[in-house]
Amino acid sequence: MTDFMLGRETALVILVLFGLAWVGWGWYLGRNNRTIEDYALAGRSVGFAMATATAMATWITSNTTLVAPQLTYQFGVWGMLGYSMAALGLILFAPLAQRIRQLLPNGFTSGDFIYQRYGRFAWAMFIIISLCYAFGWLVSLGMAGGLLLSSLSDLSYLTGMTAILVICVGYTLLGGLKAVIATDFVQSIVIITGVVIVAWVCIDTVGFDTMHTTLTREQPELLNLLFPAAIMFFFNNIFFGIGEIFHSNVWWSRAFAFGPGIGKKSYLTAGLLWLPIPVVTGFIALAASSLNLVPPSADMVGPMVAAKLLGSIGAVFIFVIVFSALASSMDSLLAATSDLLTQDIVKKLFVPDASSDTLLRANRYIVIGLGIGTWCIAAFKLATLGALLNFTGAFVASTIWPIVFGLYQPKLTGRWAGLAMVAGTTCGLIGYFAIGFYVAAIISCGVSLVCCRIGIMQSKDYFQWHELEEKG
Amino acid sequence: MSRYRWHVVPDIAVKIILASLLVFAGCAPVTAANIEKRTSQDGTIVVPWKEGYARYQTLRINSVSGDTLSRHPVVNGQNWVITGLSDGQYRFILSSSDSQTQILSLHVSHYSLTSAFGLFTLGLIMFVYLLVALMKGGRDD
Repeated sequence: MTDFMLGRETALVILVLFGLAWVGWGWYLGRNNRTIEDYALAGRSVGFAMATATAMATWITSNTTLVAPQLTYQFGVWGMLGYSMAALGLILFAPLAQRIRQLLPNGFTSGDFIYQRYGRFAWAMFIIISLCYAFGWLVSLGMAGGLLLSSLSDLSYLTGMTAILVICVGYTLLGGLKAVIATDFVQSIVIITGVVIVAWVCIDTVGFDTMHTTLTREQPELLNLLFPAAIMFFFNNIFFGIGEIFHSNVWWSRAFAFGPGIGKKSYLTAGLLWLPIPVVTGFIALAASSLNLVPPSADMVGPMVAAKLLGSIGAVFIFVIVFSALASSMDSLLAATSDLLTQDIVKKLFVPDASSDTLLRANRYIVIGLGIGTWCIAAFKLATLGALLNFTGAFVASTIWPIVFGLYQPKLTGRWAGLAMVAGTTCGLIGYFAIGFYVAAIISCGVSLVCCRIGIMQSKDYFQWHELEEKG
Repeated sequence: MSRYRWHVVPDIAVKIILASLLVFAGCAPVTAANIEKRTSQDGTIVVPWKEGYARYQTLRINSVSGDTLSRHPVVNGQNWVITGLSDGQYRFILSSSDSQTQILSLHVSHYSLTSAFGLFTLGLIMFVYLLVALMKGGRDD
């Protein structure tokens, strides 16, 4: 146990207080949920402030608080800036959110759109990709909970991982999307305040001069703007972020849940507000060598630096910030993935005539199942957070063009959209293993684009958008 | 005098022969035979924890010329993730007050800038194309 670690009792007290507060509030917010629309889409009437806060808080994840420092620690200035460019995902999704709401006013999931626009083959590929991504992200969040606890306290990795899962499953189960959005609002305020304080203390305590001198001597590549692996990573991260947002039901379900005319403004504002946050969280990793800290795993560098800077009070502080970041993403992901499974698997494949009550019940069982499944995989702790997340980059980046062309280009058919996703994912995974995690998304996206363009050139079909509304 | 020299020469010869036999028998000094050789193309390396490391206090990273670039504490049971190294050859040495041992030899050779900028350009082109597709779609909408 190092000098900045929390004692076992303190860590447990924080966990219990957190758990009771969030689960209790989730129950309070969800007590009036009567239908699947109330539970899954918060009645389709979320206003601008809540919409912006939930979009931003969901995108401030373990990635932002743990992986942004990790990537800065590995790729330096490029890693920090490259990570902040993930804001482009939110910004570019803004016009799509408006279009989605117009085309599918009664839609539930991203799978709904793919099914109606492209048919069964492309839908099947899309669902496989979505579920691989959702599980990858869920597992990474569970892992982050475990890492957080084991780096900031002498509790075990398994305890932390179990705690975050139980708390998030608890309040998502009881409150549905309403609870997710409301808790996200509070969590986003906690997170932003926290990271700003940590960065300020970092600059005040260590100072730019010391950081620059130490980095120049010990880690010169982190300041090198011609750092090859980091240059490769830059656009890879942009396309990974765009792929994550464009395809994921986390963002589509919000587009359906926000009130009319709200989606575009909210996503744009959330993206602009989110942009500087990874720069702030990533920046503190550059102080690691000045503080003579070497993380045992790259994704632990952020919490270690923050806790070292702020001492034992800082450890509590960081604990609360990162736990909020984890919870704000995990709850959204649990809600959106359970919606996707309920609507796209249970309803489409098994019970087409299911009533609202049946779907509501199925949705809740699925939330519990997702929690258990995530625990089982996260318990193995197979990779670092950054590597695991970027592995899913090969999957999600292949969906960017099928989504964009699906919404705006009438000539792309389901066969070519499905092929683009399969070929993109396959080539992205080859790049991941043959070169490194920092090329998976960009290769996947490039191959997918080539397939889509060939499909458009060869196609004689012309999709009529009003078919979506009729089917919906 | 000459008899003394005759005694010295055989001693040296014996030492050389014994040393050669030891080398051939694979019993060279530990610091030479147990050094792990690694390469990195992104300047990052994970040095995994091993059982015997607990008796040392510091991990030193030296350049091939012998200059010490950095020193890191040894924390029982914890790996070291070292990042940001430039092209070159590095020696990782564990030391305590009375002993030291080299555990790793690392050769860092970064990816070529040509391939990095190739991917960067591909990304930039795709990104501009995506912006155009979204703007055109939005206008037609």
